[in-house]
Amino acid sequence: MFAIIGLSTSYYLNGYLYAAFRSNKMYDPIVSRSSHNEKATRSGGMALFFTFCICYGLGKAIYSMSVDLYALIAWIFIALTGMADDFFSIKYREKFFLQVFAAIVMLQSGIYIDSFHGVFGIYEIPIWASYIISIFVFIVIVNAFNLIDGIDGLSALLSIKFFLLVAGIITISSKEMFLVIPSIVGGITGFLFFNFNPVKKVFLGDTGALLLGSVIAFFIFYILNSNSYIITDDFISRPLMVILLIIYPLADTLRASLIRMYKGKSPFLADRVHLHHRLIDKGYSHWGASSLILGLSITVVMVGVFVSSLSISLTACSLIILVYLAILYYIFFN
Amino acid sequence: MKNLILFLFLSWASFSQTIENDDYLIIEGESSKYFYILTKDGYYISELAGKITFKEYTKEIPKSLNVPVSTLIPLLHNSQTYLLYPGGGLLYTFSDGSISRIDRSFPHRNQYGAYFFSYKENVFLIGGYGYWQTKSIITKFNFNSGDWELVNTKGQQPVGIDQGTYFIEDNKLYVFDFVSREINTQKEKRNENLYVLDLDSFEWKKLGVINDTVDLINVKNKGVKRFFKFEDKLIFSYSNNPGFFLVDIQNNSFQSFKDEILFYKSDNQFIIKNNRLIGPIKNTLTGESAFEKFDLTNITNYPIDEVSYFFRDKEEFFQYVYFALFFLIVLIIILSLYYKRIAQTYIIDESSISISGVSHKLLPIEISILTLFSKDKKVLNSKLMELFVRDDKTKDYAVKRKNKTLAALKTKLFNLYNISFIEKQKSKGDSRHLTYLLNKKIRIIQETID
Repeated sequence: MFAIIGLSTSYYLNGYLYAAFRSNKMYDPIVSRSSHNEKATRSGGMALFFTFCICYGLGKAIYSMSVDLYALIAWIFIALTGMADDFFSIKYREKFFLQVFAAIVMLQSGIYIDSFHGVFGIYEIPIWASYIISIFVFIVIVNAFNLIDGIDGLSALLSIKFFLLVAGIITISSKEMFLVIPSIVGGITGFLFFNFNPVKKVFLGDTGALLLGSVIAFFIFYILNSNSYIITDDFISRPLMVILLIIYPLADTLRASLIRMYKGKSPFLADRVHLHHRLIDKGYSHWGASSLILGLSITVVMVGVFVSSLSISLTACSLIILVYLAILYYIFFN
Repeated sequence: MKNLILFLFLSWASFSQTIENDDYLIIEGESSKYFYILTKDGYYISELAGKITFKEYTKEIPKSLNVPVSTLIPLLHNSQTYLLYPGGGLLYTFSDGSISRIDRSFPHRNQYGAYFFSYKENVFLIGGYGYWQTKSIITKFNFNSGDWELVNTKGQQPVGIDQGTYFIEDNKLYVFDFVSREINTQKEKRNENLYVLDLDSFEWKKLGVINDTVDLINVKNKGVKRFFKFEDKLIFSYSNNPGFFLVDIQNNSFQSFKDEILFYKSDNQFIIKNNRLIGPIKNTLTGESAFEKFDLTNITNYPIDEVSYFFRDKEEFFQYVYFALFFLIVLIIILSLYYKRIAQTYIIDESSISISGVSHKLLPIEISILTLFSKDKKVLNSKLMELFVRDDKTKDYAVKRKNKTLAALKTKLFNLYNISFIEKQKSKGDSRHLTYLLNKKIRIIQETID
């Protein structure tokens, strides 16, 4: 029900906000690194944010939808940061500090990374280390989802994949939190019909990319928090599962940052060194590139789960997955 | 069914004791052979064999005990019966035929309906309702100071636990089926999860979401809930429902059983002694309460449902994952079809045609032709001719110009996009009647000027 409400609300709001932005000539500027040439608005994130607010209000009033208050505040704060960036272009340093602040607010929920779950033989970690690592992970995830939002549908499709797979875990451990997921998936799906539309093209903008990144970061905190009951513990390590779920944003961001640093540039510089840009340059359409990356990232999750179920060490699992990633890179992105 | 009725009848037939007092509290005896029924005036010692004896208290009951005895919460701990004042605070013992107060506290009125239990050498009170809020606090009675202490907990503590169902197994306290209300203006909300509290470390953990079947039972029946431990399992039921439910938390199983008598007709006071449930049944004509016992040994012989999971587990997880993958595939197919449809959408403005942001200049007359096709995929020759007819030129000139322009446009667009845009169709009846059709795969949209 919430998926349908989310989808229909998002579809309506995207159309409405597109018209509003268009009437005010608020188009996304076309620059040299842009992958688009059409007039498009950055209203998708706003529509997604309002869709989520409506769904959450309904869910809270008539059903038992509930998320920790601090997480909600952090999401709203990050969405407002994105809105400010969409409208006024905030400087990167200012945006970084606002993201750190949002991460600190989210930590107040008590849901953060408090264990390495056996990675490097480490389990429980001290509270100060938990905070630092959680803030770092939050910043990385939020920006990774922002950085891959370079071609139509990619960020949205990968977010849908993440939410759909994580929903299986959340439905077992928290019914009230689970209801957030169909709302967001519905909202993103409604947006996608505008994102691929050449006539009424809408982008997520920073509002959407940062919001999705922060929601994803919260669910990752939930999975990596030792107090959470995670059904997949019996057959896959939590950190490995989390990495598999966001493999493309992580791998692409890491690769792009390393290339920039190797060239003596800032790792945060906006350019066209991303893997999805490479696919576009090879002649793939936006839909083709996005759906290919989605399909490949699903196969990475499947391979990861299969390898984990073979009862081999975490190091061996990671190596096999790395080999599989290298093969994918060689075939599709080289 | 005959066997069930006979079994239930025989189970109840052998034991019946009556008292006239309305305000009473049934509590376990120190020995397994008898139990007590406390009243304001005195108490009954009731032997399981059937003999019931009334005795007056050896000491006057404390003045602080100014509530009906039926509202006290009893607990048998280390062969000592404790009686807790409703809402917490005042604590009494019943021993040697008298009730004595042992606390140095005050009526807390903070934990009405809380669960009173013992673990190792301590007695605890958890959850409840007070001062317009549901509570999830745990208080422990300090036998040395005579006061109650707040126990610090960690982990995923529920917001409030009121009307919960509790179950203690080893050092774990399980709780589910409870309601929470944070402030007075908020509606009570039923918590859907199973929680466990480690009684050594006092760490809360959320174990998972309760089966929806259990949820339905609760929503349908808002009666008084009873629960007790039986053979390492939990039995619970609701007063207005002739059925009860058996939960095996260790094996994550849940099953419903039919029961006409066990809880349905009995009051919400009961005790379990030697695999027997003893509880009062009130006679509505005489007003007397008869204490009946029920043999629990074979109660699980008559299930009305198959065994199902109690809280969501791996099976539900995999079901969900299959659904998610199916949903993802459907979404990709829908988006592919959508993309296929929009992939041949061309946008024309006052001077150019564009697709995927790449535009090409066209002549004004070519834009006018495509504008006609943006309104209708089928354009009559006469409509097209209107663009070429000029007063100072002949019709023949207009036809020739139309054909030439159309041919040039078709070639230009084919060279640009490698797809044929416009086809000519002759009428079957009259070959002079011409219609121009836009390729079915193509959509032309005219962009309005802002």
